Amino acid sequence: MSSLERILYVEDDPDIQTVAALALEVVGGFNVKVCSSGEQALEEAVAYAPDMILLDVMMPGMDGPSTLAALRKLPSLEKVPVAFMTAKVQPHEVDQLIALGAESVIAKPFDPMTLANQVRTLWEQACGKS
Amino acid sequence: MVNRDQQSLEHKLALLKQTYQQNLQTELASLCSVLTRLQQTLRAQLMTPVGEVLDDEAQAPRETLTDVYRRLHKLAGSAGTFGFDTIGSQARILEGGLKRWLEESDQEIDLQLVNVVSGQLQSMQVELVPSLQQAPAIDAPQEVSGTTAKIWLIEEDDKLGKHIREQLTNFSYEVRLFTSVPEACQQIADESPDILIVDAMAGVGHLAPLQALSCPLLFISDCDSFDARMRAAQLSAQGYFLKPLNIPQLVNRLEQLLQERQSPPARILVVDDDQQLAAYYQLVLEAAGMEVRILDNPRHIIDQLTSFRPELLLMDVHMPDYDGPDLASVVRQYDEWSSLPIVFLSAEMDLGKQVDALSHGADDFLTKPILAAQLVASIRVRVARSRTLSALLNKDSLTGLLKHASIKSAAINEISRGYRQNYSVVVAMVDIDHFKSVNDTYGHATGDVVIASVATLLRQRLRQTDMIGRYGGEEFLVVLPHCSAEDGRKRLEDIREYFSRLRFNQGDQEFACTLSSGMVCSLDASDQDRDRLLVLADEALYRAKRGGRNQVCQ
Repeated sequence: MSSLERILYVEDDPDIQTVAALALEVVGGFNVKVCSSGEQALEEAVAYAPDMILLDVMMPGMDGPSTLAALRKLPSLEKVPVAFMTAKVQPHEVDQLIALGAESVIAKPFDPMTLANQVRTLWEQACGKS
Repeated sequence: MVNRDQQSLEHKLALLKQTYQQNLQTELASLCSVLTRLQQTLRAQLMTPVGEVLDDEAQAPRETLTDVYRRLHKLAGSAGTFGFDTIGSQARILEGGLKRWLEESDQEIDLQLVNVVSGQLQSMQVELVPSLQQAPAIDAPQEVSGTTAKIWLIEEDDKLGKHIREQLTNFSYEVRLFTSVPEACQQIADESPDILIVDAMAGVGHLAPLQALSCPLLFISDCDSFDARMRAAQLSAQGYFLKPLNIPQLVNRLEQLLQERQSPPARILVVDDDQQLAAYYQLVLEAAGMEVRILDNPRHIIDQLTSFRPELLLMDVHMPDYDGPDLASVVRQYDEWSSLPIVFLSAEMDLGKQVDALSHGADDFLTKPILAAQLVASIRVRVARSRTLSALLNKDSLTGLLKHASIKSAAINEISRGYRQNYSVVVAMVDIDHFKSVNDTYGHATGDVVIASVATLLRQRLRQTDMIGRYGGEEFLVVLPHCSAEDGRKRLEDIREYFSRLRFNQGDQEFACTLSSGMVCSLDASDQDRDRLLVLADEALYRAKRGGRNQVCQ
């Protein structure tokens, strides 16, 4: 795993999907796969084989935390770094999300110009650790 | 190459922002209409007698609000990304408060909460599309007697009812007479009273729909028994008057109740580092009719106090940068804020800590978590008490008007502000004619009723922004800012005319009184007379007396 290339992005809000994909693809030069629900992510994640996963927290149906739990059960995705994206930024809520096994939490709203760099930094930190 | 990519990215972002703005507009409009429907549902529920089931296709209020919360959460996360920072943070505050509210399982969803949420959504809409703003109502000129209080009287005895109506109308109330409770209930869909007076005999059992109006309820009755009074108390009556009615006493109570209803909302400043919790307090207190601001940075506390002028400070004890008690000590260093009620809120269970906080100038200590109802009640009592205290210091006990010193300094301030900011101020003295003979003939108690009636009349027929004080025994000083000589004269003539029509009773004797007034408008005074407006008004009053009384002189 030498560099970050493939990002699986799970988010139900179409407006945010578009702007985040644009930010990650155009600014960051990443290959991005967008899923609109936790269920869809579970179906497509193994085949896509992402280097990093970004998860919205509050989604109808499977929410972020239960998607994370399900993804971790898939052998090939056990170690892929995951970051939550959420508008909850109360410190204790962030701690709870990290405790679930995520690498980090990206606060919403995010700045489309700096999102890609932020994700890359998180990924490098995660790989450095392991 | 890089440059072209950059340009195309910016272009794409701009397009996305445009699309998002349209979606945001649609979403806010849709949320507003959801809230409007919810308001209608809740209102309909209020009108429906208990036991009857509404045709309930609509979602339960709690589910609807949970959905609103989810949608707001989404906006809080997305709006900022597209550059709509203000809307994003408004959504975040509202979302946070709503979430806490929904978590408190004891909370019934009430109309007031929905009104507050709806109001905030509308202000977000205005933020997005400023043209949506309606012409602010504040700009409309305030009518002199635009707010006549509406009284509903339910009295089975038609003759007695008409008699009471006539007497109350003298005090310029608008009175509607009903002979039964059901008859009044039929009217509540179209209009509602400010105060309800019910004869205890008139079928008290069916009062429920009227009680839902949440206007003050007074009982009149022939029967002075413990049971009857207890029944009234159980129906939350705010007064119990025995027949034959003492009208001035009843009017006194009516005025008290109306003033409570009209008193401006309590202003509360919330200081808590937990943004979501602060937003929750804001929502709870605003739903209870208070005006709330959240302090964003403790360093700005004195600025906020000066600009917002809160009547109570609600503060967390533990905050990351500055401790609550220390912040309270800073506030207390300023003479101006030495009597501002400070209430601490904290999860602190340690009695020692609480005592420590209290010794730092706090007035009360509430322990988190606290039920919404308990929070509202504690704060309401605190504010009411502090208002009573300041009224005792500044107001005359018989009339509730400002005392000599307070009205005089208010007049002087207002006159100089008028000259500075270039608007006209009318100053007038009002004096009851031959008052000494009223006292001598009918006794001091009756004299007091006459004085109180002038006070009531002045309050009713002048604007909220006008200042009224009891200057001497039977002499009053009024200050009317932003008022021309002509308007001022009209108002005073109106008051003089009304007062002469009032009838007072002492035993079997009926009598009437008149008053005289001298006024001066700041624009009519020469430069050297600017400091002498009070003297000029007094001289004009003297001319009115000498000219035969019952008149207004300029």
